[in-house]
Amino acid sequence: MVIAFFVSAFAIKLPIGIAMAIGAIAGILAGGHLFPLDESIRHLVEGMFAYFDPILIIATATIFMFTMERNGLLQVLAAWTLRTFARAPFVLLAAITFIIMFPGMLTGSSTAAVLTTGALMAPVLMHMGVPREKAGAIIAMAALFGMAAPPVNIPALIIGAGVDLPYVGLDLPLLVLSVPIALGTTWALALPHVNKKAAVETARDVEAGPAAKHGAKLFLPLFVVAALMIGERVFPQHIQLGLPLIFLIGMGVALLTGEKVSANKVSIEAMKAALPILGILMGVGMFIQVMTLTGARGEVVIQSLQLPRGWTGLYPIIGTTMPLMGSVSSFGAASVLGVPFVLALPTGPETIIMNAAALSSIVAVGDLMPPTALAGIFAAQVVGEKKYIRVLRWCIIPGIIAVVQGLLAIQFAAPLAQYLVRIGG
Amino acid sequence: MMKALKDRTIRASIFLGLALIVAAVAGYRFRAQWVDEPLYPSPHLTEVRMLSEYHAPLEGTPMDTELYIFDSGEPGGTVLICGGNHPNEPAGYLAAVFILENLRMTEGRAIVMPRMNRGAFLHTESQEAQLPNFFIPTAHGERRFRHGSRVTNPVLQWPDPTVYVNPRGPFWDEIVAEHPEIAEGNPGPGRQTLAGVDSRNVNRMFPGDPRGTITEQLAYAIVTMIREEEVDLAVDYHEASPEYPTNNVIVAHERAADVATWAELLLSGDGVAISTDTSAMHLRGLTHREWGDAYMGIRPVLLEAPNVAQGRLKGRSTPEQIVEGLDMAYVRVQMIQKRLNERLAERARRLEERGRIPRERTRRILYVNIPETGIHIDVRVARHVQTTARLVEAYNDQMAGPPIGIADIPHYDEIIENGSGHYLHGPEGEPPAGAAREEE
Repeated sequence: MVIAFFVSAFAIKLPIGIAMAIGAIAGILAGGHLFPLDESIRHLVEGMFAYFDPILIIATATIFMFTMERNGLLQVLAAWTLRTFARAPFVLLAAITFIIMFPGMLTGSSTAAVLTTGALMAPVLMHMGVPREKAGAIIAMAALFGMAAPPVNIPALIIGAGVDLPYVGLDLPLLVLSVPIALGTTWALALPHVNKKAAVETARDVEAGPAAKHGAKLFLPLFVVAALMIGERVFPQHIQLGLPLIFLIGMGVALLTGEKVSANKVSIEAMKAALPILGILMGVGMFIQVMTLTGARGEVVIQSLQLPRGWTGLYPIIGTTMPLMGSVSSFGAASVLGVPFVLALPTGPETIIMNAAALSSIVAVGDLMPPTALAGIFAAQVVGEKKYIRVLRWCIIPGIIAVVQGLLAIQFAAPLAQYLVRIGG
Repeated sequence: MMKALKDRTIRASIFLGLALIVAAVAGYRFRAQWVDEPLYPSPHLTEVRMLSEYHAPLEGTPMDTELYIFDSGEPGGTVLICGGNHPNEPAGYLAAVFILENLRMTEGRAIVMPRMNRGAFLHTESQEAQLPNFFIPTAHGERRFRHGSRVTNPVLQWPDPTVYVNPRGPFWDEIVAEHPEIAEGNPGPGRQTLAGVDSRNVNRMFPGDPRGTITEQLAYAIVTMIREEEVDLAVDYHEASPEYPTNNVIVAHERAADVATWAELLLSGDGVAISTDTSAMHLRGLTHREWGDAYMGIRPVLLEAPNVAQGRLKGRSTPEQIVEGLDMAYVRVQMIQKRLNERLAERARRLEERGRIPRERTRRILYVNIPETGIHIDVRVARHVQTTARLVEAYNDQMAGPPIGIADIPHYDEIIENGSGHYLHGPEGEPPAGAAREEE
């Protein structure tokens, strides 16, 4: 499977999604599962459908982002933010980090964060003087830490579901494992390029563009989308629209509140941009299904559990396999590896919560791993960088730090849990 | 330019055509899961009802499910026996079918619900590479049973929320008003944050919601039925992967704990090793917790047996994995576990010699011993069936409620010796059920 994938992707240079599908078909052939033919086709289609919801989220979020860009909202917001905060870049960068993290915190999806507030903040960062690829890295990392931050961390929920652990007591550990590193990453990447004087001058020069005439109503789509996302969290029994519909509602509002945009044209352009990653997700879905069918998935898990706990045993395995498997799906890695790993670590009532939080923060790094690299690919897209690898290379060090931080949290889970885990309330 | 366009059009048409063919073939396969396999209740069946009689909005939906009622005509209590809460746990389903096709009541009555979440029988789980059916040899030929999913088919309920908060339900406040002691240390149902996919897992949403999603309405209908039929004892059949700690166990609501413990003792005499866990009050939405908190008359329990086909460590998907419970990957994991524990013990000894405290002494990767011959579905079904018989006996011994008399249920040893298929029935004068396999 792996050889077929590599040959298709790198020797024949087929799109990654097609190469994954070819790898999956090779797995079916090698595993002797070709016949009955309708059954092998069923496996491919069923695997593909694992990503049906993420595909809809990505497609609609991309359309929403393109509409906000075309109706002038992004440019106006960038100009306004710069003029307001140009004299305090340190604070501005912290605010940008939280703004990018916010949708990820609410939805548990780094893609949603990159394609919404990430897209809004991209021009701000670049106007401040942050190079394109570093701006992309800041967006990717903040989105990823937003996905790992409370109140919604889906990998933690998935791990909890696998071991009958209620989603209680995780908020503080997740906050500690996400917010400081998110702020540190943004400052480390951006501050060397930002100085107050230049920022003030840039702010003066940045044009808000013709959309400024629409005034406050231009911002309405953002408020609508934020309100619906928050509403889903606060009133889950009453508001259950789902992210795709929320983004489409946001797009509908954006069409009415800014410069004139053709819904048809912007949707086609957005889908053209999103299609390669949607193809990758479908290919990855097939690949994982066939890995399970042939027993390869189980083998990966078995190999991962053979070593004793510690820095010369289980921890490096956790630190490598979880992000690597996260390259195909961080949610899948949380279920397939996260559950056995959490059971392989100490399982005291508070310690297990700390370990689940740490594992979920490690698995989130998988959103940076090629070939899917959801956070990296979309961050490159929103900053206009054609080669997403250029963005990803600035994510390597913060990504490694995030993994090491997660492993340290596992190492010191018991004492940390005493301070961070509160399950009484 | 025109030529290039033409080429692209042809290329796109070819791919579109291929996609349509693939969709048609896969659609046909998925649709096959929507056909209920026939069940053959024992001649002592007295009535078949639909669950929608207890919650009308379910009527005519794929979630509506059969309740098979066996009334002895003698006064006594009511036992509820459920399979198919999670249709990816085949012995849970088959054990309920086994009871359905053999049961005779001598006192009181039984309600058998073999396909609790019928909507979860209608598909297989994405990325789990499940086989869609399993086959059991019977005197009437090979019978096909569906191997479904843990959650309702998304065609019936979609999309999943980002996170799922399970419902409080309408019963708790009323129960607490009448029996305030139940609220001591018990937070009551609902308001628990779960992964979005659990919004389709009926065993995370009891006592349900009459105006909720279709799965929440299913949960509500079941609890309403339990209350209206005044069920005294309820048994919910499940299976668990060998790496899941709750295995070979009776999980009992605290009101059923004495009955379960007594049954455990009786089962030890049958050679069935099982333990009893008390239902946790902080883990909400499950049958053993919420049925007991929604109706004071019931003693609910949930049974778990080991199933390699649903594990994360499983090898290639094969029919043997489901029926014979045989997966060499798990046998190998046991050897790995043994070697790992030897290494850990050695490391701990060396560290202690140096006056240091070892980080890890032993590791359990599996919570069940998997023999090289596997854990056959007959064994798993026999465990559930025998445990049910002993639970009823324990319930009667302890005079926990009006007496319940069950008969014609083969003993554990007989099921192991003859196979569960020996006791399954088929249509008289019709071709054996194995013909269904050829049709596929």
